[in-house]
Amino acid sequence: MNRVLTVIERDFRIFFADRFLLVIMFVNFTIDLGVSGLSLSAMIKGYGDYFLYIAPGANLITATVASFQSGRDIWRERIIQDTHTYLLTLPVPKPMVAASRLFSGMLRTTMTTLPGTAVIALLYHLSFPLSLVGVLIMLVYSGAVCGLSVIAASMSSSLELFTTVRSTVQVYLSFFSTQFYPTSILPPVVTDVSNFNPMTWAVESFRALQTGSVDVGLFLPLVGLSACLLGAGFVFYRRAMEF
Amino acid sequence: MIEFKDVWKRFKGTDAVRGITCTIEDQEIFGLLGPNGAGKSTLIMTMSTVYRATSGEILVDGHSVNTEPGKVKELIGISFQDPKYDRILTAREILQWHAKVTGVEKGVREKRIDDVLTKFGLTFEARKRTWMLSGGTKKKIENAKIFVQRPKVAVFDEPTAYLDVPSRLLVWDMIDELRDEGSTVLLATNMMDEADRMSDRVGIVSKGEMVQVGTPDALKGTLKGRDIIEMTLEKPIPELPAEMKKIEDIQDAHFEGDTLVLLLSNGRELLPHVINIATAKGAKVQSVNLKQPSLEDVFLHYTGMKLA
Repeated sequence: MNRVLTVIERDFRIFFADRFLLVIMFVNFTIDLGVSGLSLSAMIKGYGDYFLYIAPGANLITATVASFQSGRDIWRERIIQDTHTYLLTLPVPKPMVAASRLFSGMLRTTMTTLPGTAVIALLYHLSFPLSLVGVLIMLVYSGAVCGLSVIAASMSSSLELFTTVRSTVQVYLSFFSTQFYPTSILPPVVTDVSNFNPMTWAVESFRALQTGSVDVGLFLPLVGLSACLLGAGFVFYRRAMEF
Repeated sequence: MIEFKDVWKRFKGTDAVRGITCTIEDQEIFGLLGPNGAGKSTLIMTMSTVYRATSGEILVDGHSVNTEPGKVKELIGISFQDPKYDRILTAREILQWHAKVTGVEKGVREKRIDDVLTKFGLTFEARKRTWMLSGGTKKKIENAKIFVQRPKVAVFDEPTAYLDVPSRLLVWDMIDELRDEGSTVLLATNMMDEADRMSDRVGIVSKGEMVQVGTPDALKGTLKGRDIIEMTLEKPIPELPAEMKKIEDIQDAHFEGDTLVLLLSNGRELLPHVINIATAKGAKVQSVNLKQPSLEDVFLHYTGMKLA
C-alpha cells in the first residue's frame, strides 16, 4: 500500500511542479465559463439560463485537459525521457504501477477541477451532499478520459500521433455531446453518437443535480464506461511494460 | 551472487544476447565490457526484470528473475547510462522519491541524501530542477540514486561518462565503499582504465556472447607474445638477438639502432634473465623498458575490433 501511495505521490509532484500548466488550465476554465458562457448566454435565448447550462461543460473540459496529462506523462516517459524502464526496475509490481498511475490521474483531475466544481455548486445552489456528488461525477468522468489518454499513450510512438488522438478525443467529447447544446437541436446521427459519450452522461448528471436529486440513469452508464476505459487503459499500459 | 544460465534474448528475429553463462560472486565488482550494441545493456535490462529472457535463467541472490521478479527488484538498483528521472523535479526531490520507493528507512533517508549530495558538492544544485543542470551534474544525480539506495546488487552503466577527473575518482571511491559495505557491483563500461582499476573480474561481451571472463591481469596474460622489452645498449651486439631467441617465451628479437627489441610472453618474469644474458655477452645496458598489453589490447583482441 505504501508503494502505491509513493507512485501516486510522484505523479502529484510532477503534475503540481508544472505550475504554469495549472494556471493555463484555470485560465481556460475562466474563459470558457466567464467569457464564452456569458456572451453565449446573451446570444442564445429559449433554453433557460444558457450560462448555467454551459457551466458544467466548462469544468469538464478542464477535467479532460487535466486527465490527458496522465497519458502525456506516460507517453513522455516511454518516448522522450525513457524513465519508463527506470520505473520498471523499481520494487513495485507492474500491475500496481499501472493501477496507481490511472488512479493518480483521476485524483489529480478531481483536485484540479475542485475550484470549478465549487463555483458551479454555488451557481446551482447545491446542498453539501449534492456538491459531493458533483465531485464524484468529476472523479468518474476523469476515469474515462484517463483511461483513453493512457490507451493513446501506450499505443503512440510519436508525438504527432498522440496529440492527434488527443485532439480527436477532445472533438468527440465536446462536439458530439450535449456540452454546448441539447440533443433536440442536433441532427439524428449526431444525437445517436452523443447519447453514447461520457461527456453527455457527465454533463447531464451534473445538470440534473439542479433538481435536487441524482439521475442514476445517467450516472450509472458513466460509471460503467469509465470502468471499461480504465480497464482498457490498464491492459494497454501493462502491455507497454512488456519487452 | 548473480548467476546467468544460458541466457538468450531475442528481439524480432535478432539475438541480442546469445547463451550467456556466468557467475558473479557476492561483493565482487564485475566489469562488463563490450562494444556498442554488444548486448551489455540488454543483459542488464534482462537481469533487472525489465526485459523477459527468451530462454535461460538468471538468479539474483537465489531468486529467479523469471518467477520472482518482485524479490529481485527488492535487491537491485541501477544507475543508467543516460540519466533517467523526472527532469521537472529537483535533485533532492528525485533522491527523496527514489529512496522512498526503494524502501530506504525513513529515519536514515535525509541523512543519506545529505551525505551523498555533500560528497558530490551538489548541496546548492539540489534545489534546482534537474533539466537546468549540466550533463555532468545530471550524471552525478543518476549515480547518487544508487549511493542513497545502497542496494544489495548495484548496477552502474558507464558511471563516469561526462564526469571530470576528480568526480571520476570520487565515484570510483564511492563504488569501492559500496562494495566494502556488502554490495555486489556490476559495472558496464567502455572505459578500459575504469574496468582495469575497478574490476575484480571482467567479462567481455561481443555480438551477444560472453567471449572471455577473468581478472584483468589474467586476461592480459592470455595474449601470448604481446609483451615488449626495449633494452637500449651502449652499442649493439650482433649475436644477441639469436641468443635471445633460444629462450622459449621469446617470439622475436631484433635491433632497432642501439635498442634491442624483444617480443615475448611473461615479460615481467623474464626481464632479469634477459638482462643477465645481455650483460654476460658484454653488453652495457643503459635503459630497459617493459611494455605489457593493456586491457584495451585484450578488448580489441577478443572482440575482433581494430583501431580506426
